[in-house]
Amino acid sequence: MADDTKDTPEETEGGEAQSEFDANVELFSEYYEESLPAEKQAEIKKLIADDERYAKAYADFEKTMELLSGMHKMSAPMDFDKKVEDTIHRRSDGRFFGRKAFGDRIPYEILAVIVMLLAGFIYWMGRTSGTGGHRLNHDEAPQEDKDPGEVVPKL
Amino acid sequence: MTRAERRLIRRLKDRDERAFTELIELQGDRVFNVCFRLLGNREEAEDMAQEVFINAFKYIDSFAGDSKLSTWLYIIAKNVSKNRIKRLVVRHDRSKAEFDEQIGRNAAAAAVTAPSQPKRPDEHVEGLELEKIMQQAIAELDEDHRILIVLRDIEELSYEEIAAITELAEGTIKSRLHRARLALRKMMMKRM
Repeated sequence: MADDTKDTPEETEGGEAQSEFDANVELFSEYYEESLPAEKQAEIKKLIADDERYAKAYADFEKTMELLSGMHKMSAPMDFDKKVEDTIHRRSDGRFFGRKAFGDRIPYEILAVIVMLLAGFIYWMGRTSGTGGHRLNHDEAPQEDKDPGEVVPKL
Repeated sequence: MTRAERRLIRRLKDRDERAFTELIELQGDRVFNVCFRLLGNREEAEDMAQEVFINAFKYIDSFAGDSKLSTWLYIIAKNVSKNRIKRLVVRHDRSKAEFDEQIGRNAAAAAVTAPSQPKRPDEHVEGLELEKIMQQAIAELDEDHRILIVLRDIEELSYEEIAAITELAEGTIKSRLHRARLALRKMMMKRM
């Protein structure tokens, strides 16, 4: 009795074609990323161009890849950094990220410039103010004292 | 590693708080995005992304500098997200598949509110709908495939970086990634 389970030549041929198709589809990722050897890259390209089955399978694959690469990049919430710092502050019992005078967001360099400008302004005020306690006037010659006789009556 | 990155790491190891804020500004969005795509929930992703940076602050001394700092952060993100998924599955006493399905639904809903490039209204709606379907499909992938899709196709990392993050050989990554992409293609075809 003939073995019914044995493949007919047509079935074997069909099976081989299918496994060849599957083997080539396995290379789609590398083909898409252009990382196949040049010869293989050209072979797959030709298959896609000439064979409708490959063309359909690759079009579906390409569409999936386009959708994936076009997915939104989600952004962290606006106050994310502050939340992280607060959590570290809490968990470290206040050792890190404590709140400082002038806030946390002013860098020391900017604070230093502000302090220098302020000091310069105070100095300038002292120099120019009519009532400034440290007013110096080197240009004017010292006035001689008036004759005390003019103001103090001679009796 | 660039000189700027080496300087940043040195400052981080000195526990310079401003350096740490810089690190969050530089890497916060990427870490959040990975956590979101793996967990599929904005609140969970925010909590886990926070954990990533807290761990980074805590264990920065253990960073040897053999890889990029971003790679190290991705490893932490992958680990905290995986642990979180395990805990959530146990807490809700659900199967992993059910949980993944839930992830897909949540992420799809959250993703449609994300800002996007200006498009025609009909294109915009269609784009959002497709993204929703894709996010559901990603969530249905098993965890090992999902991480590869997120790192390679969404975050666009190199195979070298992915190998460092997943501790898999490049050949293994490529074949798993291909299977994941084919699985996604099949799921998308079914839904569209």
